[in-house]
Amino acid sequence: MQSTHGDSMSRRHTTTDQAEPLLRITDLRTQFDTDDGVVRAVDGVSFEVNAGETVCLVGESGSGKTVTAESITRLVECPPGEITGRIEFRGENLTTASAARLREIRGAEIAHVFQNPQDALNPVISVGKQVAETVRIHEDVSERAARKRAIDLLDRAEVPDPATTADAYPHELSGGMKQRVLVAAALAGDPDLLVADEPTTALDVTIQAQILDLLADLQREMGMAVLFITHDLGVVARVADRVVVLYAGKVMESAPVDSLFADPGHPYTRALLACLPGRGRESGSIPGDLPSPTDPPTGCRFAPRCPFAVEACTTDSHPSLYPVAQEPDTDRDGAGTTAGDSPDVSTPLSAAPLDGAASRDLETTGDGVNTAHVAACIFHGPDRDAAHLDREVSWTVAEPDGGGR
Amino acid sequence: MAGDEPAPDVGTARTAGTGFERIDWTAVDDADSTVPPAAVAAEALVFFSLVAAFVYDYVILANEAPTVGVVGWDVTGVEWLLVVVLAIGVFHAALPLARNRRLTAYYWRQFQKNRAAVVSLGFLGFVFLVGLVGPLIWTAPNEAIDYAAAYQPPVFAGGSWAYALGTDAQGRPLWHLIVYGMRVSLEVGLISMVFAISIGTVVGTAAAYFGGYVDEVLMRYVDLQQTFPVFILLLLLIYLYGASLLLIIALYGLFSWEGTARLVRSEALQRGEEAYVRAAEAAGAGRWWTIRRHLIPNVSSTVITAATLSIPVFILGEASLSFLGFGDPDVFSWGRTISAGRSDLPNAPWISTIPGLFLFLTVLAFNFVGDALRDAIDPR
Ligand code: SF4
Repeated sequence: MQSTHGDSMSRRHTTTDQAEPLLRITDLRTQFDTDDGVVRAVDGVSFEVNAGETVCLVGESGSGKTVTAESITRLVECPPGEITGRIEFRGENLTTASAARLREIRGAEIAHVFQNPQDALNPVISVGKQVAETVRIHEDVSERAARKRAIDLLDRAEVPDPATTADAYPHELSGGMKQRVLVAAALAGDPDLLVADEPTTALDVTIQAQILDLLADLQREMGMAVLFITHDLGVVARVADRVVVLYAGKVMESAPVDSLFADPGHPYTRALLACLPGRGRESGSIPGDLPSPTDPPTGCRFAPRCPFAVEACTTDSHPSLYPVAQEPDTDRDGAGTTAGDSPDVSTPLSAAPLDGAASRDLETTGDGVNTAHVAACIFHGPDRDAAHLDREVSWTVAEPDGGGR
Repeated sequence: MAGDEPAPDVGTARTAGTGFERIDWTAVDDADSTVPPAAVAAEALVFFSLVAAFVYDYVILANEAPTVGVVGWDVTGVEWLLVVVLAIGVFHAALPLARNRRLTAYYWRQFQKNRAAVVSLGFLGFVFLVGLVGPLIWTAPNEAIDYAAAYQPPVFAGGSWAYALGTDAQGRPLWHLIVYGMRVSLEVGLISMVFAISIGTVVGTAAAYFGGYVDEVLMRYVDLQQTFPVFILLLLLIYLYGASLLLIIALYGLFSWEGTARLVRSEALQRGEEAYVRAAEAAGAGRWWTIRRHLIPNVSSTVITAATLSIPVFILGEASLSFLGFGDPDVFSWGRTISAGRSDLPNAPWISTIPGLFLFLTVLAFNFVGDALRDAIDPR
């Protein structure tokens, strides 16, 4: 999976000086009251999704990526959950929207595809009927008309022989086919934003590729934006326009995909990249564990696992997002080191090879923070020496058994 | 599950495109598998005519006149209930199964994996049919009293084919007693089950759906009922009003639904957490919608299993009552026949053991079938 690239999802570059992004999340905090204390699953996350683009939320499990995605339409159960911050969808703040309004938005404007197709389908209802029922949530149509729509949707999700498959029960279909059915159901309301939470994780590698292609095709056809949640950087390289890296409920780095792969600004991102097959380390995981969700470390949350950590990392509060300084030898169009002050840079990203150092252009918006390349590490701060991060670090730390993800 | 991707997904799916013309809309229309309004109308009609026939029987016909003249069958109160229960069974079990053939075939394949259950199902089918039509074919035991033929051994113990299973102390053929006992067991098992399961399901769903205060009150009552000595209440009522099958059935039905209520409640709560319920919520479904489309169909598999497993409990309960002499003196329950044969155990052991064997096999078969059903429709 790792370095498939190029042809997959169209890199869509909506002009970034559009008035409003489709979705703007500002300082989202989702916490849960548990017996062990307050779990701050999402702790001040901000990012944007523009119409038609694909944004990837990346992180290990427990990083808060799923909770972030489910907070958007308040799918997390409240209580025990509590969501604060602003979630603006087309300018409408969803954190304060009524339950009824959210139900209108769910499915019709923001649809979800979940990780495990096996569980997301009801075993005792035929799949066609389940898609048809989803059609009927938002449209007052007859059962027969809904069934026709369902078959049409299954066809769009490239389910072979949709009229027959519609009568099948979930257990009669393969995992990939079930995920197609769920994609078809998600399309029922013709959403503008599709939130895909690890939609391919439970599938075989070849089937994964098919589902990713399908999502890319549908995205192009229907012009929806996709918020893609994954822990797999191979998938990210394949689908993303922009990437938001989460760790322990905080945004560690946010960047256009090429920029992120070419020049990761955050030690955590580097660690993730080092875990990709063929990138140095043997296999899969960053040494150490996620910090305790009820009692995160002071200072940088990644500090306990970070090979670059210095004392200052553990004393201050968590570093805020700083623009990632460019490497000195890179051609840039003159602008300063901060991303925010070059608002007219909109050179399209080339589909550069992942490890090439080709494109360093920053995609920026007026306020710069969310679409530019930013990272939350003190070495990108105003008076620190980012060169520190260039020091050679061997990620090939002896693998403890099961530091797992 | 991810590994067994069928070949079409790889090849043909890519070329599928958005071709409307490939879809045969007539086939689509024909395959519409929703509940046809005709079935609802038919059910209403059947229940209406049942009520009408009941009223006719009780208000117009003379008390002793047979209801169904041709076969001389005077339908009693309990039998009316049995007919209602059977009609419910036809409309809510047999018809849906026949309509959703694919699902039925799948369940049957799963069910078949359990050989003992298939044999048990066959035996229960036999008991059901004989219990239903047998009393119309063979005369009531009391009309077959023939002291000259008392203590005939069964065929396998050297008896004659005229009395295949032997006779009892009054010369009643044991087979007649067995057949009438089947009818009694059928009535007790099925009617009590329908009572208990209906109440239990309603209470359990209500508790899960409303939650909070309602849940608390209902479940505390369930706790109370579970510790309540129904058997003592039964004895008291029988002492006060005399034993009748209807009373026994009603008491079993009304005081033994707490297990089902608990089960349905916990199942409904648990199903509420399932990924498909969350997926429905993510698609904008409201709570009632989710209950109707997801909870009820899924809880029904639990209910069916619970129903199957509750039947033998009721049958056994009635048999015990009859064995102890608290049964309805007008019906030939297996328990009563067993009890009557006790004194003859040394010289005519078949009088007790044959009905005992039927009772044992029936209870065992229900348990086998219940277990296999659970595995087949609820593979967790
Ligand atoms: S601030 Fe940067 S260097 Fe310090 S611990 Fe965090 S990630 Fe590592």
